Amino acid sequence: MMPKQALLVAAGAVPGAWLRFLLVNHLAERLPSKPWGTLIVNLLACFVLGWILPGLQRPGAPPEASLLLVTGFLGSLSTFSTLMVELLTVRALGPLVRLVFGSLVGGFLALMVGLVLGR
Amino acid sequence: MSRMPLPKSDGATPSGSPLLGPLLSSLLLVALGAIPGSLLRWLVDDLTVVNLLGAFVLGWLTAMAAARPRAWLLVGGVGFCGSLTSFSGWILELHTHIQGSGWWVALAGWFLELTGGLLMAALGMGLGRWMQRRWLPQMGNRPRR
Repeated sequence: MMPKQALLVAAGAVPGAWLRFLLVNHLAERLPSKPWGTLIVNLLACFVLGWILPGLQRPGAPPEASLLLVTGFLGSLSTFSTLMVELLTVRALGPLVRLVFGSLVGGFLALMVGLVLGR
Repeated sequence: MSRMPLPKSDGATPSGSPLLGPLLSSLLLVALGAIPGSLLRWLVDDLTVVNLLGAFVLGWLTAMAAARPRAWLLVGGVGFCGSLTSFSGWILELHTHIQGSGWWVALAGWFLELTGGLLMAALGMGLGRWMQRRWLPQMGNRPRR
């Protein structure tokens, strides 16, 4: 493990996890159930990923920025495990289908919109 | 102590170090889990593996959390598993696979990871519930905070 690279990943991961924690708690009081808050934070991460990715892939872009922002910040901001466990708690079929399709279609659209804007 | 917007769904009362207050202690605990979680994801460098592993561990932690302090879920759940797994990377892989192998292969891969994740979370939860029952006498002595 390269110490400098590990430091970049961790330095991005901590604010990413903090923002997810604070946003999910904030949204939990305003949305029908907790999975919707997790979904919104995940979609936000997809949008930002699409938005900054073209710039990070340009020749001459520092690899450090990718470690800090993509691997660290956005990787930690978005979560797969929480979504899976929360999906298991959804007992009604309607909300479950909406959450799954919201993740697939919403996540993909958020990424695409970000990619177009970041080009 | 001032009231802070802490999650209600955990069913636990806000607790924290009297020096830091509930919000700062929560953030400290989340960071404590997020650092090893993100480093492990970076070192393993296979998103499907860490996503499935994280779903299993979080299912287990959630089932075990019932008799444990709130810090358990803040470090292990919100911090470690939340940072170990990534949703944006999962969607980026879908996008990459659509360009490389076409829509149907990409969607099948996405669906496999979804069902795999749900299965791993359910397995972890089952293991946690079994362990709770197995060691219930000892765990019953723990103060429920």
